[in-house]
Amino acid sequence: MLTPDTFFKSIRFLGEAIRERRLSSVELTEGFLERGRTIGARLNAFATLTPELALQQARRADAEIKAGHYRGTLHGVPYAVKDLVAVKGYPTTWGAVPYAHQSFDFNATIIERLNEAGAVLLGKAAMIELAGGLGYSSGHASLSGPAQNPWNPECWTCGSSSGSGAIVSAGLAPWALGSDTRGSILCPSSWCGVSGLRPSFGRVSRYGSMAIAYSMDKLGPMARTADDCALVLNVIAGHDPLDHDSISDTAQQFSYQQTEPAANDRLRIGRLTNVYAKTDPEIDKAIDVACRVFEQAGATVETCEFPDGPFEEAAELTILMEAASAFEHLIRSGKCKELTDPLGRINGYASEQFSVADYLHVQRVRPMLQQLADKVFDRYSVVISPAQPTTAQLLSAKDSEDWTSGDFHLDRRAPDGVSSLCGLPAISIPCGFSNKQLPYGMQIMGRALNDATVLKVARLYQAHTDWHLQHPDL
Amino acid sequence: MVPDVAAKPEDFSDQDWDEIQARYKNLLRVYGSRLSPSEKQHLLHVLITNQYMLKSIRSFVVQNGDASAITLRLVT
Repeated sequence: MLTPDTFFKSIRFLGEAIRERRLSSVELTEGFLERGRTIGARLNAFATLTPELALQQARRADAEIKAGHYRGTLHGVPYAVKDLVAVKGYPTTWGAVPYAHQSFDFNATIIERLNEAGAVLLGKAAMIELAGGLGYSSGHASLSGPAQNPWNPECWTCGSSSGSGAIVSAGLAPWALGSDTRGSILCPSSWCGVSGLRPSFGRVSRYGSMAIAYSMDKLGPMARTADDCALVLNVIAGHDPLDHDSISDTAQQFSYQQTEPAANDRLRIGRLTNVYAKTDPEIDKAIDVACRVFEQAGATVETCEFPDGPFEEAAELTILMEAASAFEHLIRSGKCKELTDPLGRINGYASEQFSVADYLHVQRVRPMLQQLADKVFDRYSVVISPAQPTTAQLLSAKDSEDWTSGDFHLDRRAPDGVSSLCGLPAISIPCGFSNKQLPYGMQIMGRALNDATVLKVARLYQAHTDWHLQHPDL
Repeated sequence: MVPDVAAKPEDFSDQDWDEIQARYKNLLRVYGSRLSPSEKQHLLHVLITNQYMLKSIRSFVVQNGDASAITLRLVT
């Protein structure tokens, strides 16, 4: 018998209940699908529901488990996938009008891996058009309408994995796949109060998913707990020869066991103090409280500063320049004018004006910035900071683009930009609430390929706090 | 060439502004017929934003002997 709380349980809880046949995958899937049709529609959370496929996969899972063929923790557990990942025979719209009727006749590698694990696909999560690849100025920039934040429907979820954030936060699926080129998993995880992991670059195959910036795109899980993120990563990580940037089998592999906190870990945590020009003071207080939690759990915590460098500029320029190539057809054909966002309609024209020398300069600076960032981890296992400088913004808010008065500003060491540019693993986990009941997120960032350490620190925090167990009253 | 929809930001050099003008001119040459007056103004602001970022990244100097940006992966 499903209770409302069932829909906010972790993958681990649901997976064990299904394995022990205390819960049927079909019953659970039907329950989530019904929430998708009702609550999901209200929040603009899904681009497409896939009920026939979901129920077919759920029936198969129940039958296999009954027959003693158990595939693992994701077996029979429902999920959603951002609508930029190809699922054979279903629309894959990239959240954008020009691709509203697009579908592919193959599955992305990540879908194949989840199929092999026996996972149950509920549907495609709504997203910002082209995942913001040609720019956007508000949460309205989506084929399926603005995703509403389950904690306050007047607020946005953040993007570009906007639907994935809403889905997990609202209990419409235990987890959802997001993508992150520059913060598109971390920001919605922070604003929606869920745990979202952006793995190391190359850790998860992107074959069959839309490209924005080839040297920065990553896929990763958004879930209720860091442990759930680790369980999913354990299934989706691994070399794929079909992805040019997939890390090789000889590189440091991800191991779920290494995410388990242990008494003798000797974790040294750096608390970054210089990454934003301005933050909501309450978020900083929440991070300070988190530092005490870590200390009480046996970790060493020190304040530290991130080295200066044009991290954010390099990230933004790389995306603009590579997106001009990724969406060349859309720009040259003029079909970019069909996009919803006024910036998205024209930004590609400006990005085409960058020179080859500009691109090469940015890419030659980039390894120097990677070295700067990497040195931080000679001293610290991970560094932590607010994931975002504010809580969720109103949907009516728009980015300012008028810098002609000379007051241009970027947070050049913004932690989601740094980790995106350098391909570092990072997670955002809930760490408190504002007085308006909007979630705060804490980013935990680690050295390249040390996804397990990032997850271990997040799991340690969640073992001593319950922010991740809070959910909106829907 | 740049219309009077934007003035040169105080922290831009003449060279920065010339560069923006050149990009804007080329952009209009190729795509001008597709763009409304407000879109042209919007694009100018985008080019100014981009120039700020380019100025910043160019201040991080690379030398001839510094690492290449391009890696050729051999097909074997």
